[in-house]
Amino acid sequence: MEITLQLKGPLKKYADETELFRLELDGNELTVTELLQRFEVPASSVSFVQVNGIKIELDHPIKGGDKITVNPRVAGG
Amino acid sequence: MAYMDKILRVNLTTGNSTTEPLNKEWAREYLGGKGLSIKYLYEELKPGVDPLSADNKLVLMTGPITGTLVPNSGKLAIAAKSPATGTILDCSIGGHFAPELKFAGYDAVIIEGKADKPVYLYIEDDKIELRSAAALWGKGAHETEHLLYDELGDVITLAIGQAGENLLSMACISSELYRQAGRGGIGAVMGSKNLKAISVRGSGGIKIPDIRKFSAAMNKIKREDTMTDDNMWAYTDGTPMIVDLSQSTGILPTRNFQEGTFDGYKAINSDAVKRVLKAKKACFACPLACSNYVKMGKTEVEGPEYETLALCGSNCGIGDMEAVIEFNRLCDDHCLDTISAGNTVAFAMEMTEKGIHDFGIRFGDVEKYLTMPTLISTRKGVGADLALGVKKMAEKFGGGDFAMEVKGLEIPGYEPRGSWAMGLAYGTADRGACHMRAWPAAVEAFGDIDPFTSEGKAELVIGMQDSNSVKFSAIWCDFWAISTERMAEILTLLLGREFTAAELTIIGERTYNLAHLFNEREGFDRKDDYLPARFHNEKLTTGFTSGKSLPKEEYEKMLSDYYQLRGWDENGKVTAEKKRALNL
Ligand code: SF4
Repeated sequence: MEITLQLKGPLKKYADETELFRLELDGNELTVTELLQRFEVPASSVSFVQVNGIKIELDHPIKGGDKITVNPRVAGG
Repeated sequence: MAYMDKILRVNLTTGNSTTEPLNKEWAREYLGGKGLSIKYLYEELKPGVDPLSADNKLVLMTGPITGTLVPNSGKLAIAAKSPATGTILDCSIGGHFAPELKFAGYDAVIIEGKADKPVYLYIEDDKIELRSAAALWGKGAHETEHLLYDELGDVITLAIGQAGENLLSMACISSELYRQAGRGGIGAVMGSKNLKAISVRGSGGIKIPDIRKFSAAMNKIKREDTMTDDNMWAYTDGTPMIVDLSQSTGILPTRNFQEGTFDGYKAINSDAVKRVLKAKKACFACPLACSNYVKMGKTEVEGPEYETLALCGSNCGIGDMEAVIEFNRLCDDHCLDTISAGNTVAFAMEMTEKGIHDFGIRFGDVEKYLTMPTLISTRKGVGADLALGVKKMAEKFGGGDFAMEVKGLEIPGYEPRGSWAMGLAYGTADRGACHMRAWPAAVEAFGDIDPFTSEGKAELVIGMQDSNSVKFSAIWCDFWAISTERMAEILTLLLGREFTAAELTIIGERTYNLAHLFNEREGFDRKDDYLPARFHNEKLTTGFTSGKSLPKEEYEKMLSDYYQLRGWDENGKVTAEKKRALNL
């Protein structure tokens, strides 16, 4: 299945500084956590993840065509 | 060491200036910055003092880390009794003023009295002069800074614009053109004293116990703890990154907090800022350089920060980056706090659209919107009414249920119906609705703590308020997610005596309690710790927070939990026992 992955702000360093890209995944069921592990994005660096614009839990299963947006942690305000 | 052990006291009524030793005992109990400035004000201000009278004092306070190589240590605390709220008010401002003041030999400046004519204060090491500001009065902060730079050479300046001269409760103090001590009318305190600007130049340095060990440690900390994933958002994007976060979690204030999402958010988000970005800028000793210098069409600004994009963008129904940048530039030059100005314009827009009072401006009306900063700061035309700020406008014209303020301070850019602890943070912040005392939105809306429950929220908010009190006393920039343990490690290296995280937490708690005692002395109690009715009575209807409100009974529960955990009574007063425990 093909998905779109967006690693925002400093997290793009985990994909050779590319923030937004399409990605072909093998057919197996995959959760957001597993996807982040593949890119070696530490969970502690992530504030929350959206699938198709909606905030989800990290055990959310990914489907073909999904857009996964990974947001960094922020401090201050 | 690391302190200069000297305070400059300037009396504008007599024109005299004196120096005195820093009170060492207070410095041990409050560090500097926020805590120490509040301590001086608590001891020196008479209860009930009129914030705009000669009897109010303005305190500029550095901290032990200021002027050193400690990362993110370029901030200055500026404190006084607030003209907007009547509470204690401490603001922090970045740039280079704070280190320069220490290089001139001072930990702090306390300004008293009132000059009979406009003056500015010039500090060059031991040379202290009050000079005429006749040629500067009436000018914006930008021109004022340029003129002082031309006259004095390489100085760093704090200045007020027309809003401060005209004593607006939303007047801020500006430095290096685009940095502000923003909230609570701190600029009006300067204006009320006929003090247009303060320029400083220092030629000294700061003594560090073991400079080799210290700088090696700072380099390591910078690499391993500052320039890391959870802080580098400040460099890659800066605060505009928060627009997308708030939009997707339904907490982006929109049309005077009527909604938590904005259809036009893509025009005012971080990607939109990056398209017009010209340069990144940083405060003293900051590796994160969060500031974006942008240029678009005929306008340019250092910013716009998230708060401006939210309150002056979506909250006014303005999905037009160039308009927001120009509004931001005008506010900066006139020295209007963009959080309060954006809220005030949005309130006028809703009042007009609802037919309650016609201020002649509606949501999304870019042309009228761009006339507002000048009209408000000079109190001209409709600006004379808007200059009152939201609370007083509602008292005069109605609309109290959607007057978005707490204690007279307008609400920052995080919708509490999608982050309940944020509501408690606004209600219990020591200077009225403020997101810098505690920012639980980061772990609720943007994290994995359930935003829609009152459970555990009092503890969360108290922890943040106390740790931020230490942070703003030492005084660090908000954007480094530094742990209390790390603060203790750095202070130990710097001050040559052992600090522990536990000791710092007590300093934070003591500081927050002292701020509260100041407010208590001014008559504040539980009745003042409430939110606008809109958050309780109206449900949001779009996005992630659709169908959500913050029910009043849940808020009451959080507030009671909060007082109890703080060791305050049901009416929100600090108990005798708590005072004893904190040596207050
Ligand atoms: S992160 Fe931004 S505000 Fe903080 S010290 Fe650095 S440049 Fe200044």
